[in-house]
Amino acid sequence: MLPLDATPVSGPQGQRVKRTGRAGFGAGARYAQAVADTLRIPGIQRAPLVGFSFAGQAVRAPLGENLAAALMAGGIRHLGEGPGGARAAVCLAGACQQCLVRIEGRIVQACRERVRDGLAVAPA
Amino acid sequence: MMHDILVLGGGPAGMAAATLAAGRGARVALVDEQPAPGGQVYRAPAPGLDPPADADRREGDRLRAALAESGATVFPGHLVWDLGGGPLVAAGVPDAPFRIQALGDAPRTLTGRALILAGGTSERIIPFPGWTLPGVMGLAAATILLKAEAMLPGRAPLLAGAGPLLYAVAAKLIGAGVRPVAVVDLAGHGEWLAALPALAARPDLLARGAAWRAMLMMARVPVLAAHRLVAAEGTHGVTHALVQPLAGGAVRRFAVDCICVGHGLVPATEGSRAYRARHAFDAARGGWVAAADPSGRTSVAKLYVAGDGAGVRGAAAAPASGRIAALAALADLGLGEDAAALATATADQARAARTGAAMARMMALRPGLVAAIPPETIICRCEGVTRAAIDAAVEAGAREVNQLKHFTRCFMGPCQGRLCGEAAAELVASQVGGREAAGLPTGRVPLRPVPMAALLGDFAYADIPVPPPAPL
Repeated sequence: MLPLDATPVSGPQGQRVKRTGRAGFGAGARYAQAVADTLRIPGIQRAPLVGFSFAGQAVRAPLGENLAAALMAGGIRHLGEGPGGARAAVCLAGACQQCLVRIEGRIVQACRERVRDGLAVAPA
Repeated sequence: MMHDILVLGGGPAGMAAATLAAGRGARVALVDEQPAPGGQVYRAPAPGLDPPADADRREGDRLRAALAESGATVFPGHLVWDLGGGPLVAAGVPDAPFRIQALGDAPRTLTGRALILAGGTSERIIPFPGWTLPGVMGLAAATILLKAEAMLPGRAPLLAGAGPLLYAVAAKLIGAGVRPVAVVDLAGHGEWLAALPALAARPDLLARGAAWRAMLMMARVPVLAAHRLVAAEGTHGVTHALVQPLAGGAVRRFAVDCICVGHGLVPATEGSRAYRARHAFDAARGGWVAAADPSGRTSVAKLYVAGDGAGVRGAAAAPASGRIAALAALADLGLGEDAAALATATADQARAARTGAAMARMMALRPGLVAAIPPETIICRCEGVTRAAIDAAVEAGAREVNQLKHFTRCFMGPCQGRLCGEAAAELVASQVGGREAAGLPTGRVPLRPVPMAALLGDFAYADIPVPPPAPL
């Protein structure tokens, strides 16, 4: 009744998505391939897509989308290394500090940033 | 400019407090971290995103509209990092106005004669093996993704933990066309049945809860009552979840691409702790809360607490709680008393809080979950501290959480204990006779990590005062 379709076929507005086949930061490339652009709930009006990058990897996301969410939707969950293991966003509410990334030299929480065109994001 | 009342936190309690006080002519400023007020339950959608409005969105829009018309000055997107004034003055000096510093589009300092803390809660996640794998996130994080970004946490998510959030997230996922792999609920069926009389006080919530359960049944989602998540497995990200009955028995293994887990909500007390207000431990309200009278007055003059940050009672009870604190602040400042408004707000709060209290009990920390954490599991992710290291520190003499900080650096990383604090404190508590004995971490500024530039401000080298050299 409720399809659980793990095979991505379409992007946020239903168009075909070109796959680059590049690995995400660190590892998890297969995951990146499997989920890219399938997490955004279809049928909802969104801002126009713009391009940004994480560790040199190109990502497209609606302008103004939460950066931590945009990275997830782009298949990038592994944001860096911490003493306790891999770092990935946990709370998305500004508390856990696990989604730290570097933008223009500053360490910031990805969940408190918004996607802008041309934004260059690096692991913290 | 000196404000009459500063409100920290733009959730339902903070919005209602600021709206009432400003509507009665007080000079009010509200500061919130998010780009738009709303808090977590009533979080506004991201700019440019227009999801269909649900009940929460409509209530959030109503509160936001009232705040916008109230005359209160709103500072959204501002991270409050410094608290000063009030009782935090040199010995012998009379209490000063409250002074807060926040970072937004620019550094900002605000002063006020009274301060209402409405910081809400953060989610409690009790660690388990594999919880640091990418793809493991909070249940509350999943609601933020769904509500504010119209995004799924995964295509094959498993939901685990305690409380109504499990079913709220499951229903939202099914509504978006994704069937959760399983819902793993710590509570048994009996606990939900016991909560029914309190839920019946709010037929709207009861109906919503029943609708959620019906959606799960129709979608044939396995709901495992009295079960716990034992471990997450995967190499680069989570691929499997291990689940076991609380009573023990066979472990089931589910293929997943994401685990959303939450073990209840913890009131945010960093503000009241920083001002050295008295606190009390109340597991049924989420844990440590500032000791307060029924109007939210803390032990510090003109410092108030409201909403879930004052003890978990849910979003429905929060606006009335905010109005009560605002009425108390107005009265204490000599800006007018209104017994009728206070009686109305008190009745509103009591009605909603009955349901909220039943839900808060479901979300109270279950000590057995902490006891079951294997020794090698990371508790503090910021500093890489395992359960074994915490146990060893307690054994070596760390009998209180502030001592645990010195022994292990737990609580001292960037999250400042927001992610690890509950498990760490409970591990201490289990050896020293309870959470009261284990204490609560002393409140310190900065409340959040801030760039050094924010602390330094603008200065020229010549401005640095050089004290005269000490006499030889």
